[in-house]
Amino acid sequence: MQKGKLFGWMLAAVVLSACSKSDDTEDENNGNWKELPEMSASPRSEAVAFVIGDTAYVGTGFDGEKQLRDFWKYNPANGWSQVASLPAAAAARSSATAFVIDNKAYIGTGFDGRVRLNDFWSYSPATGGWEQKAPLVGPDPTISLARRDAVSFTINGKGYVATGSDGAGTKDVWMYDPAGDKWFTRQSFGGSKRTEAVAFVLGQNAYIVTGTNNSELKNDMWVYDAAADNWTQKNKIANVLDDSFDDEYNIVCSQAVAFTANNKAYVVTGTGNSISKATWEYDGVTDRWTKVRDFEGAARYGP
Amino acid sequence: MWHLAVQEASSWMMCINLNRMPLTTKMTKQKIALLLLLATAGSQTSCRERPYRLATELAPRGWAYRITFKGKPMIYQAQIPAVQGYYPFRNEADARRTGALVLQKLEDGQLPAVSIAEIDSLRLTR
Repeated sequence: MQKGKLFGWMLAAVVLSACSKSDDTEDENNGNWKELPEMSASPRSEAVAFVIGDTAYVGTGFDGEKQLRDFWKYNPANGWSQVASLPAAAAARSSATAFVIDNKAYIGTGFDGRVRLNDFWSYSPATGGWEQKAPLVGPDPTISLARRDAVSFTINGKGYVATGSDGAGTKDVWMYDPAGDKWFTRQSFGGSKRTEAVAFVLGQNAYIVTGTNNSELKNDMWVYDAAADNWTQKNKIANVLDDSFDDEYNIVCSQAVAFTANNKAYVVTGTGNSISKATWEYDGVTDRWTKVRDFEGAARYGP
Repeated sequence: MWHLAVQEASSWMMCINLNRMPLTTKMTKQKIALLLLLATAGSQTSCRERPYRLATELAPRGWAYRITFKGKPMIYQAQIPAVQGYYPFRNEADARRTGALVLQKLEDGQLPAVSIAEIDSLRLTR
């Protein structure tokens, strides 16, 4: 079942430092990757990562033998500290998703080694503890929304969970309101069904891009207007037009990592025609991608 | 098992200190005596270069342990890991026992995560 088996640990930390240049290997002006402390020689795949304030957290995942429930936070000066594990009532899992609202992280869905999950749990750095939240259930509770490898994002204090695999790719979109601890139906993703995609937010808009379904890597990209609850297609991430701007596009992949910095989005690594260390920068204003400095660690997929 | 690990951890730190002292350096009698004392007190095991090192220290609340890998910071733990909430290590022995367990995992090539069951078995002071 488990496809990814690579090194989840470093990524959140590397990502956090992505916009700070170090002096040792600086070249040109297209960014720099700096190596930070590894967690251990033993890898973990399909973990979740989130950022609260200035602190990156990584947890859950799969170590090649078992599903994991531990969580760690990263501090540049000290390294990693283990925080509260996902409680015993929650299944240890991989391929979960996470979003952050008001300094609390919400982690849910995923795969426990046997079945896909729909439960959600919230971690608060203020208390250092976990609370169970409403599971992902739609208006018809007899329809299971359990899934793995979904994407999630936060806009205006609401969490969104979209796409992922319920055995096959999905395209439904759900909104979580922490005030009422409730889930709401939203407009389905504009593109085709998919899993192992990435999502990022620029301004007030969320983007979903990359991913796969039925062994086909997806080349379409869509932007979500949360206020209008509406998806709009952007330029494709492959060389499909006569125009020259997409001639070098080689972005299609699944199991990549996305983050934003200085109002640009970055999609890094993943697995496409081969396991990648490419880094692509997206400008939401111009709807253009630029290849920037490759990730300097080992090529990887499956965050 | 943990006591052994702790003992080893402290002894190889001393080993390193000795190794870094050039033999040709002129030493005072006091220095030599001190080194001999450290050597006999510290090294019951052979001196091996190990990539992981464990050390304890006072934290803002209670005690903490650090694990470095080839001298670089890797783990800093000032709260009891895995359990809900923030509980400091109440004493140095608690921090060292927990750190020794994590050190052992790392040296065995495992992930350094501690489980609730392992924390229970360490019988830490809360």
